[in-house]
Amino acid sequence: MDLDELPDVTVVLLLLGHAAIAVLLLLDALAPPKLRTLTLRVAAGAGIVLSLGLAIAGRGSPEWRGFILDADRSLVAGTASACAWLLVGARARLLPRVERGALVGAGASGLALLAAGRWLVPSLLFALVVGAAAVVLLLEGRRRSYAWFGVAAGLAIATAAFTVWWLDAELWELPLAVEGWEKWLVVAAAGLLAGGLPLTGAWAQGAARGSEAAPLLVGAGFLLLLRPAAGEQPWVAASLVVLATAAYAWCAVKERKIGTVTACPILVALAVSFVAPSMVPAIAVASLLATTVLLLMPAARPTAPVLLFTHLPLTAGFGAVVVAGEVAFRRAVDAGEVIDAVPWSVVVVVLPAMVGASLLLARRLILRGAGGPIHSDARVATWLIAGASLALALFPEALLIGDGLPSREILLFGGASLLGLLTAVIVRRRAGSDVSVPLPDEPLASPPAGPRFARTVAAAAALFSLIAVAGAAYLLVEGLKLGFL
Amino acid sequence: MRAEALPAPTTAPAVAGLRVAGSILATGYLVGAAPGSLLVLAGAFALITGGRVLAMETRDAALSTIAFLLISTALGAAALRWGTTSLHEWREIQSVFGSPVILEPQIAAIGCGLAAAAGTLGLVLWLSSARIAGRGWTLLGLAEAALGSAALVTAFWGPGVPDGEGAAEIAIALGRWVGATLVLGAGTYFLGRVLNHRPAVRWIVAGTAFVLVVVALSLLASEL
Repeated sequence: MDLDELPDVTVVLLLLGHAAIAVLLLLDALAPPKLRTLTLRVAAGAGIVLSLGLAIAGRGSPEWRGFILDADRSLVAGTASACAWLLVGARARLLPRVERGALVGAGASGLALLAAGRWLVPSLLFALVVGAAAVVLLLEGRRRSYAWFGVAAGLAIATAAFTVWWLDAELWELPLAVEGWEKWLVVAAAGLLAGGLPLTGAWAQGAARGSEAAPLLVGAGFLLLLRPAAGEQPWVAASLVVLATAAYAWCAVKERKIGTVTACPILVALAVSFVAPSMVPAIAVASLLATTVLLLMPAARPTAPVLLFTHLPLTAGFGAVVVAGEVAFRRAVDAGEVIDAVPWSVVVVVLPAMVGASLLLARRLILRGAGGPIHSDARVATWLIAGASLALALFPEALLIGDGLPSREILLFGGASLLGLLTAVIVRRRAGSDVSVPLPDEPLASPPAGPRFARTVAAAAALFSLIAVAGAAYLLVEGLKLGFL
Repeated sequence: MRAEALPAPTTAPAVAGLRVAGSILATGYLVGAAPGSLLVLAGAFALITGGRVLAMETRDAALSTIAFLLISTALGAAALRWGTTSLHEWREIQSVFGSPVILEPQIAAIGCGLAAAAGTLGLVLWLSSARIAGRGWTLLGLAEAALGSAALVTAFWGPGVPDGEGAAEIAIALGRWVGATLVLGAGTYFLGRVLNHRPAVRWIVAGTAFVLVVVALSLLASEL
């Protein structure tokens, strides 16, 4: 079947199927705990299938009413919701609470509709749905005001930017690009939603309860970067690469909170996005996979999959980082003026340092202490993600995140992966099954309780929420007055 | 016991797997089995470094990572000299112009010479970090020494394996490339062993290489 000729019912299912799962999960709330675990796992499996369907269906750009599945946006939204469902499934036994799955379902449908939306007002409303579902999920932990603040600030800034843009342009279609200071507002909103700030928004709760919301927020942030904030921004990219390197180095030396570590690959992804805008889908997918592994870490304690956030070869993010490095090198060499070459040179020179710092952080995370117990579900989920990342590294064209690799390169990468894996298996057998070796006593820390000014942060979050809702409501009323909606 | 300790059993598979995978990738790109750029080659070395640091104490791991940065940046100087990161294009250009270390203009040649020296010191430093006892690990270490020196030889010494030439010319070029690689590899491996138990000297080497590579990049940038 051609993907551009998908029947309407399939497109509707891909967009609204998650919400249907959410409704079914709510009906299951009265069932006994064992049945709830099973239901959650089945729901998570169905959610992942729908998400992958959305990611692939975008290649054919099928349409339904005011929605069109765009390849890049569908890929990002599909991956984000698949990661969120994977987290739900991996925690089904530990935390068999169906209402959390229902919130993920609602958020995933909101994200799918946001990705497929063509019109400004509905898109803002879907973004609010994603934000609301995420905030409710994140409100359970200790740093709830910071979670709320990050999400609300991101949404409020985005709404303000689009409202100002609309007042000027008076167009109802979601813009392909915005210019001027509105663009910087959208960039800031994307950074906030995608998790560029540690211990805030998506990362406020670290890997604790509510972190199922994180992939949805990261996905929403990258959707904003794909459209309308895409574009080369050398100085922003250079600043972000330096910031990412500093963040990795800081985490490698001092920091042990997952909510801080997860912000590092996001900073790299944002930097890559401003160097090579065509790589936004690829680096967004890689970041989603990497941060999901990090969120599963306390329960899974994987070794090799931790390396996903370093964007080394054999991971999904490597291709995008290489392309960004190539683009920056070319721009630096071709620059007519010295001042034009500076930011690109900074990107090229600092990139290896960023990789080095990320290696040291990965080492620290892998060699940390025992922490809590290992859960097999989380381990399986982690290795599934690592497998998906390797598959995307070998066949990036399979999900339209780049050109296909030359066959000789696929052979080389495939051979390296296989022989590396084989060597690891042989060494593991020779080393025996003893895993209780002395390791540095560095269990991953939970995010600290909110500091004293948590109330102020909560007040600011409430204000931002008001701005976001008011902005969307204003545009909605204007649309209704003009008869557009 | 810093130098001779085995990696912990939990990390040993990852150490070996990453180092082998990275070595195969680096070999593939260095011998031209697949088209690649300096960035991909640096990625392969990063993969090896990622495996190596898992079996090291924190200070050794930091030094090893610094060494990786020095090697990558030194190779980057060659990319700056030729204006391309493509390894294939390097070989083509160098088969015509020869080594960048002796090619006019003088400032650029000096810059490349300093970068080559910094890269060599970086490689010594890289190989000096904690060694693991055992035949397999030693062989892996020797292979990594050969790969590091092959990268430096490819970047700074001159023509590698030419395409489309006669069999004799290919054999001679290959022989020279392999010979230079082995000499540099053996030298750096030996120096690495010597430095293994001299932590203070290793920091001095790292500082010297850093200064050299910064001066090299400045000289090359001034010629752009």
